Amino acid sequence: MPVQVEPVTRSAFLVRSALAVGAAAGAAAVGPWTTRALAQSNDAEIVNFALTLEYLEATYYTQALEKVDLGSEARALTQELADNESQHVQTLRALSQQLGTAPVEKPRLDFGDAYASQEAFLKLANTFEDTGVSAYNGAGPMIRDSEVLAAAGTIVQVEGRHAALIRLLRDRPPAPLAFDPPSTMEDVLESVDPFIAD
Amino acid sequence: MTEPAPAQPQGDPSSRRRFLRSLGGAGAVGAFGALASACGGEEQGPAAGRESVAEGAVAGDLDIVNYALTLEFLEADLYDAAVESGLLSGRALEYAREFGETEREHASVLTTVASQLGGAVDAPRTDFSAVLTDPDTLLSVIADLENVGAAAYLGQAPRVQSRQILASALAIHTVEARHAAALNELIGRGFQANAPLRGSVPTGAFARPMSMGEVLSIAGRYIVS
Repeated sequence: MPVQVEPVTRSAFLVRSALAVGAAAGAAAVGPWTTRALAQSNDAEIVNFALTLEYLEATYYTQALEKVDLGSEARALTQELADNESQHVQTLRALSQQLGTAPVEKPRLDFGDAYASQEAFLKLANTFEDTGVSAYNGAGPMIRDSEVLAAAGTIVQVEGRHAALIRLLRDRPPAPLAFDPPSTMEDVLESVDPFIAD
Repeated sequence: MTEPAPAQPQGDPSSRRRFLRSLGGAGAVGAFGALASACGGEEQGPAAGRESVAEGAVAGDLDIVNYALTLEFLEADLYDAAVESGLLSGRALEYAREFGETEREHASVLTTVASQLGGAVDAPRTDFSAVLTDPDTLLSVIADLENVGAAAYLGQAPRVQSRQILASALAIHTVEARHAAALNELIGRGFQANAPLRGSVPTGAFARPMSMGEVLSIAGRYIVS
């Protein structure tokens, strides 16, 4: 699979944009991890961006199985999600290597009060899954290699299914919009930045 | 809804207008120009929209859009037939109404995109009378077609040349996935396992695509002409 390397100016542009977004949103600062992750420009970097989100989800569900007092239905779904997201992590790590880059390592994560109750846990899970869908949908059209796009597609469809199931557990409409909106990588990274400890 | 939703408004009814507004805030995702113009977005004039859709599109893209459009017409007809049949109640009826409206919105957008690319197919004549027998049969077919629909988009996404059309297809693909998961759950299928249609539901953590041939062999059962 060909890896196309963009000139560094594009990365610089994206980081500047991210900082501008952060400033506009009134964020005190965009963390250094986010700034590094924002140097997106080619398929390998998009894969590593997706990998970061999958680390976040996989860790969130795996820890929840230990830390949250879950009802039987919620526990079964959380187990399923933990398994699925861990498989996504493995696949994206392998894909990153195939594209000639070292997979990003898992960041240190801190989910704050989200493990305080099943309700709080599911609420953040809902946000993560909807965010994940929008992240893949936003990044998809930027992917050049059709094999990478196909792989991303097989994952995002499962993320969409996860989102629907978590929403149903929360008595929320499973498919609230006729079109799942895309998010920019900048927006996604800004929204997950609070959970990344370094 | 007061809860934070960084990437997606929560719990709102489907709305093309709302979707367009969300696109206005996603300037960096310029690939949505096609869909925005197809929806009649205020931000873009018709001329700009036409350029946007055509950019990078090849003949195969029109075929793919018309294929997707046919599936959306089929799903929308099925939901209409389901609602009119009186067989459904409760959550099933709610899904049929809401998802059916969503499929009409998909069809409307795809019709506009196809028209701009050279010509939209007509809605097929459909016949679901064979499955309007009892709620279980009907819901099982609805779930099957939603799973097949998701698999159909997944199968075509890597073949789409125009980035704008790809962006539109992806925005629809995950909504079909949500419908499929909700229906699988409703009829007790679990979100992936035990479906009778091999290939239409994820195997483990990964969804499976279906080719046009596979999809049409199933969807074609309900198309008269």
